[in-house]
Amino acid sequence: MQADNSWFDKSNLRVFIVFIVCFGFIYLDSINQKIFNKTKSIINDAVAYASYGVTYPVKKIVALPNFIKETIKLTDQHQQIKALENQIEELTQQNKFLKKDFKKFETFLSEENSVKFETIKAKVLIEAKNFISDSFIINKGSESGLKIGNPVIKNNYLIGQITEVNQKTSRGIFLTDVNSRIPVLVGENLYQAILIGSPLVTSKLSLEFLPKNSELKNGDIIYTSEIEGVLKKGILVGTIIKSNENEKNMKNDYSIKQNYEKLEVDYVSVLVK
Amino acid sequence: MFRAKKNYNNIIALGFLITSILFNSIFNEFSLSANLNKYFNIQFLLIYFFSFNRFIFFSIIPLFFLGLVNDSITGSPFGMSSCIYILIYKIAVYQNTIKLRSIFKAEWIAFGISIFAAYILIFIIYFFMGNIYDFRVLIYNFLGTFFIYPIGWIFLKYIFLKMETVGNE
Repeated sequence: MQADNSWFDKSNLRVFIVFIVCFGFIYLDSINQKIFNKTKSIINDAVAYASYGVTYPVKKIVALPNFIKETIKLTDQHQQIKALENQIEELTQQNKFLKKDFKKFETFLSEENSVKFETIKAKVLIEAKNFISDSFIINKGSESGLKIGNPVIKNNYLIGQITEVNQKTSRGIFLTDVNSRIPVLVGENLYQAILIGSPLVTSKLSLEFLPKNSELKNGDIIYTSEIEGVLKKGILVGTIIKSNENEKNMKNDYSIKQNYEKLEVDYVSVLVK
Repeated sequence: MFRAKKNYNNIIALGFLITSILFNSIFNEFSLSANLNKYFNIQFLLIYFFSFNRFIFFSIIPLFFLGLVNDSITGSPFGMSSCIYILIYKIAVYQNTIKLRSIFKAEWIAFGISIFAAYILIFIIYFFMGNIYDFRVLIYNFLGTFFIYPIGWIFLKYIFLKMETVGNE
């Protein structure tokens, strides 16, 4: 009974050993020790797939109403598309001149060299957030050729970057993560800046190192700037939204709209080349 | 009869903690990009509450492995959560042995002290690992977790008292 009340007794030896093991793990993690990293990678893979398996039935049940809504919406959209296709067909048949013009345009497009990126499609297994990080785990890893720093895209918009690669899974951080730093070009004048995630406000981004004389307009588009071998130039990031047209506050009074909802992040593309 | 009831409670308590670890992954389906873990830490609350009330599965080894799982999911330095969970567990058990359980206010303050120690440990680990963090997030999270304890306490006491009553009937 007395032993229970004392802080430093023999029963605390186990706690002490576990603490040493924990700090050992933290140390090995910080120095990127090879064998430890491999073991960690296997544990990460196992935990990611196990967590996905555990949460899968719950997610499916919770997402059922949304799925039904989306299916109804898609059926409506499909009918609208069909109607539009019919209209297009009628118009092309009616106007042969337009048809010829369209052919010219088609030839022009085929002659143009479009920029193509090599991507890998991946499924988001878990969205992992705590008070410090805002990340997600995908089902592709080093086996599929993923590397640290690869940009993650959803609907042609950059949503984050790969920060940790395991064998079969990888961790990416959202742009809103406090550790996220993306070099970007903003607006018509292509001002250079660094896009930084904010830890305090969810879905809030800020632009740092903007030139002093820069003036941002409502609707200015943000693109990525190039980091050789890591990030490609010209990937869409978001749009500047000016909430107040007050001249005095022109420089700071803006927010950044990302063109995706985190809920929609179920499948993503990872740019590998 | 008594043992069967007790084990049932313990499994549910463990289930609460596992759900809280997978919290965001599951509850993202409910709301748009809301990250409630930014404002309070349910895991700390649960570990303290269940350790303080001496639930069986809340001991060093299960908490060590659950911590590793949490680190693996959230991408925190490997071993950090285990360290913090065990620290909270140890303080809670110590406070239980010195009979703090009779007054809620004392239990609440003791909870504050244990999570304060946990946040200091997080700060130290992040500082030495050179990770980017925001001081304010730690403070807000600490305050949020501290002030949500009475609500969590009432909720958990109600559930487990209810279950005990049902079990006795």
